[in-house]
Amino acid sequence: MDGHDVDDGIDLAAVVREIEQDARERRRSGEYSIALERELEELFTRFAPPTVSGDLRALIDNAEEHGLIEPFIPVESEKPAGRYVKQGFAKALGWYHTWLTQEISQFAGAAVRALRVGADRIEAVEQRLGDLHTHRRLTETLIVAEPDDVTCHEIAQQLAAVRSRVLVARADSGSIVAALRAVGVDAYGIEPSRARRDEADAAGVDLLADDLGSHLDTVAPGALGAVVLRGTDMDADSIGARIGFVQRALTALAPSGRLVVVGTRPDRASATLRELALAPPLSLASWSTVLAHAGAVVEESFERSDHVVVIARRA
Amino acid sequence: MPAIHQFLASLSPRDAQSQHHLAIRDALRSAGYASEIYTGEAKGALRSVGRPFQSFEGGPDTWILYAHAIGTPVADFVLQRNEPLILNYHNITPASFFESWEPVAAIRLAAGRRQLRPLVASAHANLADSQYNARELLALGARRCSVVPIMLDPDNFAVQPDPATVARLRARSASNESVHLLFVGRLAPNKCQHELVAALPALRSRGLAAELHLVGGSSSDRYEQTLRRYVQALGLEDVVHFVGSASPEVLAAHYEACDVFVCVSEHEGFCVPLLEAWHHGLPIVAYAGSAVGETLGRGGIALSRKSPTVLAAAIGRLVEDAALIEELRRRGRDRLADFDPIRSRTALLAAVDEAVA
Repeated sequence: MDGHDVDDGIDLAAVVREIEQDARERRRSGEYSIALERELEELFTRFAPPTVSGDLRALIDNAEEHGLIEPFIPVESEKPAGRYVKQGFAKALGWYHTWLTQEISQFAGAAVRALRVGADRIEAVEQRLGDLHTHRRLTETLIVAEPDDVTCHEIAQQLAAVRSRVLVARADSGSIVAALRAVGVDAYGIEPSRARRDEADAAGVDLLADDLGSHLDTVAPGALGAVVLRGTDMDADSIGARIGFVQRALTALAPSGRLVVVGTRPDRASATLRELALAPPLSLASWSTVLAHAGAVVEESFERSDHVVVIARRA
Repeated sequence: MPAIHQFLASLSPRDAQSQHHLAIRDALRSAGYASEIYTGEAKGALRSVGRPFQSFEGGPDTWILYAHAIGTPVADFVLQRNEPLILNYHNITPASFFESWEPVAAIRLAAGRRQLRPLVASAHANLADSQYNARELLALGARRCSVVPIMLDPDNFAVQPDPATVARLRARSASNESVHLLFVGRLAPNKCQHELVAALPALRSRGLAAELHLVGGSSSDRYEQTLRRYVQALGLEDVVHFVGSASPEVLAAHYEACDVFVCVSEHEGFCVPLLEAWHHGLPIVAYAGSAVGETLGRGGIALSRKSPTVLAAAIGRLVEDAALIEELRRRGRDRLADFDPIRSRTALLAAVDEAVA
C-alpha cells in the first residue's frame, strides 16, 4: 500500500532527518541536559513496582504478598437488593470460601518457601563461584579500545559485498557501523551503554539500545548477512559465554553469511582488562580454536595495531 | 452457500475490533453466506448479537472464522471442532510487556501465544489486519495469509463532537497558548504513555508549553498508578489529563480540539486511532514500531527513535511549520482513503470465497 517517502509535496524522510539532527544539536549545545533522558527513565522506574526491576528477592516478596488471600467475600452492590442477595450467598457458601482460600494460601506459602530456598541456594552458588554475577557486571564496565580507522576500513572492505543486514555488537561509538555504511552495507549497531550511544549519536550514527544476548533472541535464524562481534563480550567474558555468543551469531547468519570477531591483541590489552576479565583477550591461534569449537571455519585472520580480526563462516 | 460463523473472545460496543467483526458478518451475509457471531462474552447492546460459543452446534457445509487476539477458551473450543477453520489474526501483545505489571494478564497473553501455533496448523486459510500480523502467521508456518485491514463503520466518524468539551479545550488552549497533544489507547505498559509524559519536560526546555490528553481506560492498575505518581513527581498534574474511557462524543471532541496526535506505542497490531486522527485532520507524530509504521504509511511523521528529545523535536517542528501541518493533513486524508471499508470487504470476500471454493 505504501512504498515511497516522497510524493509531490514535502519529503518526510528529510523532515525526520532534520528532526533527529535538531535533537542531536540541542543535546550537544547543552539545551537538554545530557542526563535528562536517563533521569526521566530512573524517575519512572522509582515509582514502578519492584517487580519491574527484575530483582529476585523483590519478585518473591511480591509473590508472598499476593499469596495470602483473606477469606473476605465482598457484598457491596450498586443494585438495591444486590447487597442482600450477596450476603445470602456469603452466608451459605462462607465455609467453602474460607476452606478454599486457606488451601490456596497454603499452596502459595509452600511455593514461596520453595522459591526462598531456591534463591538462598542460587546466592550461595554465586558466592562460591567467586561471585560470578558481580564479576560479570564488573567486566561489562571495562574499557575495550575501538579499532582504528584503518582497521574499520579493512573490515568494511571485507564485508562490502554483503547485501543482507549486518549486525555490529557492540557498536561502541559507531566507528565500524559508519565504515560499513560508507561502503554501502546495510549495517546497524547495538550498544547497551547510553553514554556510548550518545557519543555515536553525536557523530551521526544511530544505534539500538540492546545487549548482545537479548538482541540475538530477537533475530530470526538466517536473517543476517554478517555479524561483527567485539567489545567486552569478546574480550572479557568467560570462554563459555564467548562460544555461546558465537554459536548464536552463526545461527542468525544466512548460509553464505560471515562472522567477524574483532578482539583486543593480548599483548596490547590494558592491565585492567587482563587482570579483571573473566577470561583474557585471545590471540589469533586461540580464536581459531574457540571458533572451531563453536562450529565455525576461519577464512582469514590478521593482526592490526591493537586488534586481532578473524573472519569465519559456518562449518 | 456454506455458513461462515465467527468466533471471538468478546464483543463490546465501543471496541474497534468488535465493529470490525460486525462489518465482517454483514459482508458475509450480503455475499450470501449465513453468518452469526459466537463469543465468550458479549457486552452492552451487543448481548443480543453475540451468541455463547458453547451453544454452537455446527453442521455440514459450515466454516468457522475465528478471530484470535488473547488467550481464551474459545480458541480451545474451536480447535476441538471438526468444521474447517479460517484464522483471523489481530495479534497478541507479548506477555513480557505485562509480566512485571499484571502477572495474571501476562499469563492470558502467553496462553494466547501458545494457542496460536496449533491454530495456524489447523487453519485452511489465514486473514490478518496488517502485514505485520500476517508475517507472524507466516513465520509460524502458514503458507498464505490475506491482509484484510480493519473495517470501521463510517458512522463512527460521523459522531458530533461534544460541544462543551470542545469549548473547554479550546478555551484552555487560548488562555495558555500551549500545544495540546492527544493519545488514544488504554493505559498499558506496551503503549508507553510514560514516554509521552517524558517529552513534556523536553518540550519545556525548548520553551514550548504543552498539555497531554490521555484518552482510554486502563489495562493495568499498577501501570496507571505509577504513571500518575510519575506525573506528580514531575509537577505536571495540571498539564497531563487522564481522560479515561470516553464516550464517542467526548472522544471526537478531543480529536477536534487537540493539535497533534502522538503515539510511541511499542506494540500494536494495527492502531485504529491513527484512522480517527486522519479523519479529524490531526497531524500525527508516531514511533514506527510494530504495525504502526505500516498503518501510518506516509500519513504522518514516522520516528525510528522515540527518546523524549526526539519526540519534542518532532512536535516542535510541527508547531513551527504550518506548511508541514497542512501537508500532513492532506496525506492523512489520502492515507485514510487506503482503508476504505469497501476495499477491506473486497479483500475479505476474495479470501473467504477462495477458501471455501
